[in-house]
Amino acid sequence: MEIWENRQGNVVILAVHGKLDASTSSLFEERVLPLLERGEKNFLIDFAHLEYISSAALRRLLLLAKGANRAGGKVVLVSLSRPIREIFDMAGFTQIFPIYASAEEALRSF
Amino acid sequence: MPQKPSNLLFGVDESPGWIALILLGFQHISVMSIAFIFPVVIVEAIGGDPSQARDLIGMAMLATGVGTILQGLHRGPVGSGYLCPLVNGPAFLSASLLAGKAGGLSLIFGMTVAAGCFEAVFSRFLARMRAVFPAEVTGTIVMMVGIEIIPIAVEKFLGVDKIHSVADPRAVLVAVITLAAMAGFNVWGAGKLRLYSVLLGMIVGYAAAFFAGVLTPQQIRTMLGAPLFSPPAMGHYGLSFNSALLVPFLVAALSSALKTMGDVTTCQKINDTQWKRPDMVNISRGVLACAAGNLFSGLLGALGQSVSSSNIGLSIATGATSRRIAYSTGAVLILLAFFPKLSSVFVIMPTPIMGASLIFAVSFMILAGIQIIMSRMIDSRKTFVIGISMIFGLSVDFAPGLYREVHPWIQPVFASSLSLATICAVVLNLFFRIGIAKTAILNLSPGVDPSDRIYQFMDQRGRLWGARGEVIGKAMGAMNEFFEAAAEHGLTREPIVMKVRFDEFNLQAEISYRGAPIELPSVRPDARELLTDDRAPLKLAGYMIRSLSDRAEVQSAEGRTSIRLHFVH
Repeated sequence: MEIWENRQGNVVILAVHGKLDASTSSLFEERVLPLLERGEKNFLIDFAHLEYISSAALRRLLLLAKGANRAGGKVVLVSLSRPIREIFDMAGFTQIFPIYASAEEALRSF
Repeated sequence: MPQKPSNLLFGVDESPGWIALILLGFQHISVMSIAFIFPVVIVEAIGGDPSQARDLIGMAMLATGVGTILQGLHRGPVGSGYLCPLVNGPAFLSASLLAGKAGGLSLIFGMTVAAGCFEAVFSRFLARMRAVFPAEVTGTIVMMVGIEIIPIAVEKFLGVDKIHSVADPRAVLVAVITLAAMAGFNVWGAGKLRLYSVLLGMIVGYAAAFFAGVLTPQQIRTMLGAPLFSPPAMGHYGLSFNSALLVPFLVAALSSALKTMGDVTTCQKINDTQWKRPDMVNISRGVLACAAGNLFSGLLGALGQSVSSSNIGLSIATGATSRRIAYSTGAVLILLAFFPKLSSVFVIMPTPIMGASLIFAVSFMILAGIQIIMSRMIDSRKTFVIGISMIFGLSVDFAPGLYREVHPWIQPVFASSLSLATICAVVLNLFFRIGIAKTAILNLSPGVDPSDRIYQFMDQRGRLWGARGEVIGKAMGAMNEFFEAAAEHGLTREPIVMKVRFDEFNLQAEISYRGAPIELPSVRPDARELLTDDRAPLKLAGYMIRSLSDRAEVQSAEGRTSIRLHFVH
């Protein structure tokens, strides 16, 4: 799993490549928690290159969203492939996270 | 229940209305008319006279009209229920030439009856031959169905015929105008313009051909000179048989049946967004319709029939696949057989217009084949099945005459790139099945082994088995959900055995271990529970396992737990 980090204004853009499971999502958490601690609160997570996500990783995503919300920001998701979208639907996470088709559209929501 | 793709204007069960049905019927006949060349080739080769060629074209219209209607039937044992027109195509050309030279037209027709009977018997066994035709084999066949037409399509596009041995600039101009009009109406035309793109393109092409001098006054006089009404000469030439010609005709029938298989598979795919694999029962009914068409052809006095791939390409391009178009096409063809003046409009079609229509239709056929091939995970075995079959199939067209010395009995196999590629794909698929275990076992230690072992194991097995990526992905997801939950929530510290079984219809995963059973709840925990309840993540994992699989059950006895997951393939 790889994370490519970028920034657009006050939004941190994280593009996740590969698989997010129990072990790789802890790496994801290690990367994101310092950002939250530094005061970042708006996150755009690009899942265009995400191949798989497990329920353990979904829960870590939920914890990140909770942290961002508490800081007055939010976490939005973009470019979910059909299989990933199905997993989010199954877990009920499409109702929890704002999901956009493209980064441009998602950036306008901040 | 098949789901109609959004790109279709009229799906297989829909009706476009009477006027559209007749116009679409004419549009299909204009593409089918390219095959009227084959009776002429046969009669010329056996030293017959032009009146015999006219008789054979008239009978071709009648017999293929009946065959096309039979193929469109969707109730009863005969007919695939798809718009899958039949023509006196090239499948029987080589065998008919042998018979014609040995015993004239009566022997061609008698042997065509025998071929029809054989094809009917063969069709009864097709439903049990699913393993012989996995996606990579059917996809290769469908792709080759399109590729086979390329040599004749390009030749005609360039205006190469008996008179012109090199490209004729005037013909090329007409062909480019025709193809541009067809493609233009299809790409940028909405509704009816797209629906009739080939017919409109042909009208543009006829006008261009007239002004360019490609459509000659002589041809127009031939058309005007034909009688308005003349009943076709049914059974005029009689029937005769010769056992020595049985093998080439049986091979031709087999080749026709395989072509039908590829074409009906394409029809199934283009009419259903949820298509997963060939419906062999439907295909066997389609082959039986083709057999009935051949029987009818022989008895009436026409050449052997096979499905016209170009017409399937046309129906994809225009977005009209209604089976009622098969009925209207068949009915118009039967009528045309009695009205030579009308049918001669198609008989005199200029060569570049034929070429442009073929290139237009072939583009869609080739892509349909590639899509079927790519619907499965590809490994080196499949690469060889597809690659070697294509290479030898294409060798027929790339190096004409390469198989000239092959025994006449098996000549039909080597006479067509489609036949040779099909035989290669079927044989190679059976050969490469050797050594593929359909059961595989993965041993894991919770908290020690990474999830990567599951991903790699399932990916390798999926490729080896030629399973659908989507199903492998779900199984992998469910297996990993359990593996993560077992480690994180302490369900077991003992080794976990994951046994996966696959056949063409099912993927089953059995997870067994010594330890506590996992609950597979039917209701998922909500976000609040996930953040506050320590047991909620385990519930979510169990819920995901249940949701990802089509059937899931947990059994536990004497400290051993077994989870059985079933995935429909």
